[in-house]
Amino acid sequence: MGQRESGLRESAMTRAENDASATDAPPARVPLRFPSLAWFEALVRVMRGNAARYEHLGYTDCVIQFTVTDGDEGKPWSVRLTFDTYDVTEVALASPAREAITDFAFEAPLAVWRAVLENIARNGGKPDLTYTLNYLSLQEPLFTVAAEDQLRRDYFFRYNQTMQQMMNDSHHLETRFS
Amino acid sequence: MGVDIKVGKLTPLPGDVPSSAEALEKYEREFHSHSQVWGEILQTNFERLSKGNYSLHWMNGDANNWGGQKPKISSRGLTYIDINRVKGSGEIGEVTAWKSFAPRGSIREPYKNMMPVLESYDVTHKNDVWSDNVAPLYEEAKARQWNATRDIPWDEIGDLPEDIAKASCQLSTFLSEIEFAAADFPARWLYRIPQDYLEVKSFLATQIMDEARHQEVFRKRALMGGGLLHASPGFEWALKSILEAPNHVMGTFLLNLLGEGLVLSLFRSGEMIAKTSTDKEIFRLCMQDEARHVSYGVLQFKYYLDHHANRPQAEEELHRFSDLGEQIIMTAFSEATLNEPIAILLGGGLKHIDKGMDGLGKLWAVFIEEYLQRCDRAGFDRRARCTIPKEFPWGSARAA
Repeated sequence: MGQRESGLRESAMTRAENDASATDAPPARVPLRFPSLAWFEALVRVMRGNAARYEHLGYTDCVIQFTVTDGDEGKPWSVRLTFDTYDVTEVALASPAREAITDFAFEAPLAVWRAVLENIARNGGKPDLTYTLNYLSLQEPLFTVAAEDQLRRDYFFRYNQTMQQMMNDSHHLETRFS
Repeated sequence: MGVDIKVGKLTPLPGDVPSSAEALEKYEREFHSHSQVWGEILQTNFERLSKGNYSLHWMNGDANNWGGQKPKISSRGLTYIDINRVKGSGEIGEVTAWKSFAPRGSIREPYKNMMPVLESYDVTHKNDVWSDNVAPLYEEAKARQWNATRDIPWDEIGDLPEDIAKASCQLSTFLSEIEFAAADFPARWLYRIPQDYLEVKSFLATQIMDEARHQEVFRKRALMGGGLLHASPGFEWALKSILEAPNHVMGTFLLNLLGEGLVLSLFRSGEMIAKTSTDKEIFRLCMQDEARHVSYGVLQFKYYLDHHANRPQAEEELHRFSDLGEQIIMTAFSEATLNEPIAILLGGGLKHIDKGMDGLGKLWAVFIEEYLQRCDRAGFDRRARCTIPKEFPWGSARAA
């Protein structure tokens, strides 16, 4: 049973203290490479700047993983995001072999991620129908929502709007892919 | 003296529903049957009040260590989980003998003989209702509420071709038809679950609210698109079967795990079948709610099996019930009022309904696999006995 199923966790609050000032800072327009830890950290800063929207969407309590199946010079690359209440409390590099703590993982090749992010950017944060996470999740094996079991996979459905908002917020970032 | 018989003077035969006079008479009899205890309470209180005395017995909290332990507020506020860390009030028994409104953790033992017994509170075993995620799900449900009046872009439906418009309205009619049954089922059991399982009652109350909102949003969608279309006999029988399930565990399996699991899959596929941003938003928001109900169903089922004194017997009974339950749901989902509008929306119009049916077949395989995986997670191996075909039966006779 996942940690959240046995009880809501105390906030891990592993966010570095020095991130606090960055929370309120305007989104960086310095091009950031995707995939990279820096890119996801910047995305979380954008999310914190949009906190009212996430609070409107409601609690999110899960650990998710993004895997770019060919993101590390052709090899898999992964990052883990820990959602707690309305915040992402941890962004960390992860093992592409899904970690036990992870509830579910988005897994896709770089070309798919690139197409998604470019579509979101082109549409100012409102992706076309065929570029939403939910739509993509029905396109296995091109894009997979992987989980140890269906209950943990169902977190994706429970928190779907939050996940999509997070992706949509990427349009505030200047992204490069090489 | 002749007997004056006139039809108009005959007393009507009693109907199934008692008249208000009969109901009042029954209520009065019930009240008077407990007149002694009513009288004792009233007399004691009146004597004290008339003498100008105070009782203040309620200020003695020794029996439950009043003030001994305060809950700690967590990062998100004060949740049921936080307050359940307090000894006594936070302890939830495997069986409860309390069939009254007295709150769990209150000093209630001294008053037991003076309190009424609510015979309707007959689901007294925790494993019939509990799931280990029920308290977090209640918090999540409160935090993720939305408003069908305000949060849907109703002005973005636009003008749709007639076939698409009618398919959208038919699908909305179907969803409007089923959603209140999904509220009636928990409501029916909420009334039978004792107060000691307050976390479960609280979560079921959110499910009822969710389903009310779903009924509301699909009714509005149908009317905004042209109007309601056809009701579905197959679904009526299925919904009746859910409401009349033999017990809470079986009904929850049928509604939350199987039925809502399939509806969740349907909402999920809304990204592909919806033709307007209005519909997409409706499906996305409903999907989140539905996933909570499914999660409760999965872990309630698991808790029941894990805590049953005779698990093999419990599993066999549930397999017998599932044999029926799957046929109930299969019959419902075979209705043209459901699969044809989906196929039209998936295919992109009536002309492409065949293409849509092929797409529905692919979705069907996903739906059934997800159902079986949820059974796996609950510790209920249904794969060998599943009676729902893994492939959608569209065109199978023609192909043969």
